[in-house]
Amino acid sequence: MVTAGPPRPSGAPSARPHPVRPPAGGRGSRAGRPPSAARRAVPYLLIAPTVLALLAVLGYPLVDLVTLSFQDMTRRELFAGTAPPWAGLQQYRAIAADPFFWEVVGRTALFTVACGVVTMTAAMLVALLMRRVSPWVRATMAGVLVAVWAMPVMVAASVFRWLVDADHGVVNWLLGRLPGADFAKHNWFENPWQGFTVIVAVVVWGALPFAAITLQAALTQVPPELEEAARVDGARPSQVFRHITFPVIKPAFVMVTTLTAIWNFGVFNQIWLMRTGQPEKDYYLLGVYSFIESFAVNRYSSGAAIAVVTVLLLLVGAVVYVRQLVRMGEAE
Amino acid sequence: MPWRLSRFTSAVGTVALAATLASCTSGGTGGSPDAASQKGGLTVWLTVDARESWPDLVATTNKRFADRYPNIDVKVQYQQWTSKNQKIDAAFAGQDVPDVVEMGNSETTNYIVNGAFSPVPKEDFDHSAEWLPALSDACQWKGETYCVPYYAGARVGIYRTDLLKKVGVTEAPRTYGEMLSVLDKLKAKFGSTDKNFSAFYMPGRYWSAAMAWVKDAGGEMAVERDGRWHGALSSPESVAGLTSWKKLIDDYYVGDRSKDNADEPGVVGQGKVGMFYGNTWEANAAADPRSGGNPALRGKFSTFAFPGPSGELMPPFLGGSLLAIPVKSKKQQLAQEWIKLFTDRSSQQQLIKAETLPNNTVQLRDVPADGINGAAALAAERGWVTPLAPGWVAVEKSNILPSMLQDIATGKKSVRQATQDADREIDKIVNEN
Repeated sequence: MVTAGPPRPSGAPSARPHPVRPPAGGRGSRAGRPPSAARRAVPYLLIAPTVLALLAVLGYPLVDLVTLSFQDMTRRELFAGTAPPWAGLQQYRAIAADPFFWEVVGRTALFTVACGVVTMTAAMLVALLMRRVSPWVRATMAGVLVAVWAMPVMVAASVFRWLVDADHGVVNWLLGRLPGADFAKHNWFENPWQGFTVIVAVVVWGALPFAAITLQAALTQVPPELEEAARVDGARPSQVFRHITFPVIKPAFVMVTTLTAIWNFGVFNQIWLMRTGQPEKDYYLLGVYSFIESFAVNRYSSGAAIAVVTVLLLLVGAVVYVRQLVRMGEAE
Repeated sequence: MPWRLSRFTSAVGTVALAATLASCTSGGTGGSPDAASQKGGLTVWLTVDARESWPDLVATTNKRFADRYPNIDVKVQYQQWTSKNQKIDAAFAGQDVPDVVEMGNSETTNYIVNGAFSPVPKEDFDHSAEWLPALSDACQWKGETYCVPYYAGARVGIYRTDLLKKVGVTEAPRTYGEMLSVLDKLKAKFGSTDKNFSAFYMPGRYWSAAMAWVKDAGGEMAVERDGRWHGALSSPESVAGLTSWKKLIDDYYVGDRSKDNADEPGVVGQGKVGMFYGNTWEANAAADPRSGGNPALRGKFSTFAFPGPSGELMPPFLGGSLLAIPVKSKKQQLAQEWIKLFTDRSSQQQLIKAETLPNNTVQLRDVPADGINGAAALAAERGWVTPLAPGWVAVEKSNILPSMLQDIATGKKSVRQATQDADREIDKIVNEN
């Protein structure tokens, strides 16, 4: 964005006696007819409401959050309304020195990758299946997917929690029917690996519809004659997928993968609800950790620092995503 | 075509990304107190217990208050325990605060040390010299009183009269040993045929029950030394108490050990529990379909004063409520007047009628000994409250105790290991404001 402007001489005073003349005339003449000022203002006017709304709902809290993370805010300041003392980088130093924080970061990353791989694999298979089946089966599948999508996380998490309930859950009962398996009273959350398997299942279940429907939409853009030609040339189905189908839907695939990753990185509800609002430390991901630091332990500034780090890590993901989009745009 | 696709892709992606970021930063606490309280109003935040169990007391108090202050409009707003403190924090951060708030006795210390409440003249309140220590201790800070005891609830033993009769026991056990032998009989008779039958119900994360075993053995959750608080769960006494608690679970409880007691009445209502340790109201709730209980069990529960392994009565966690006046309230005097009426001896009498324990030892004697709260009234004088440390509320909210107990109950850690780990966690935050 900055690079789009005219180059500035370094060290130039910010308040110049005469403003820099925009090279509008030159550009205008190149286009043939100089656009009027009003005409040029239209795009900015159109985007203004969005920008203002984003600044209000995102910018202000974000600035507040960052400021808070450089202070040392406790309930005393909160209740008295006084300004909290400046703490500089102290909060960041404290969390960086805490091995538990890095454990949570690692766990969050692993969780994101696991959810992403399972979601995208399942969604790809569902999308490919939807292309093969008859129209009414496809319509039914789409309907079911939308219904899943429409279900609130609260409800979905409760249902899954009951399914895997140690005493009365149907999952234990079903698995117990298998020969030689004893799942009576099996507690799925005692071992965090098993617990996270359940939580990944809830998350994937909720993310699958968006991914599958988007990929299915992308698949409709694959020209059948290309695949036909490849098959005529003797390509195996796996080769057709790898060299013809996938490259066409790759933009959509990358987009869905990135978005899923961003969502899963900040996951909060599913863990909170599955552990009935009292997650064990083994179940802390960055979102949960930040919330507990802020609103349970009342270390508002420490919680804010964790949130800022989370946002920064998310931004890395967002940058990768935007670069991918730009690169794909350039390739056309 | 791919060009079109990437346009479509980026459009969907941008919208979704914006939505994601927006949802990341939303989710505050929200909710501000009623702005109308500015003109001649008094806003009182009580928890839902008052609305559900003693609405008459609120109505009577407001009527008596209106007789004295006819131009003051009292607004009672009911809060849920789970979200109350977040709402209070949000309100206290602004200027428009309620004039009276109800607090749990394990929550007050942190608010008092952070200057949220105004001191009140203790001697002006009825029976203030006889207030239950577990309640009034939670209001004291540096010689001042910052809140007023409201009511208490003590835990007792609750058993199925019909099941005990079937194993030939007609009277509630009076000692820990007697109780264990009753449990053995229940286990032998019902546990052998039904593997879902628990002679004693004790979910692993039920910390306020487990801590009674710690207290009974002479242990503490945390102790103050030279002005600093330290976790004391790994002391020999505490470890002994938790060891006998663990043995009770191992011997008589077959359910999920990673649960807490949130759905206790519902679970007991399924009829596969012989005895449990709970609040007196849970005896009724277990037979009440509205709280997940089973109406077929109505009249089949009875309470008893729970004996501890030490030979004394088990010292119960005295859960209780207090009323405090926020520093920012502009109607300090009126708020005090309302609290005086709401907690005086005639109001406490109404609470006793509503099957609740009063806030003072004198009126504790008025609780009918043969009633559902008789056992609780006996135990209440031995009642205790969580450590009055500035950071105890953080210890509770970060679930250190339930996690420790779960590790012990499931056998993931030894009692010694789990308590040492918990003490370390407690030490980190218990002194922080």
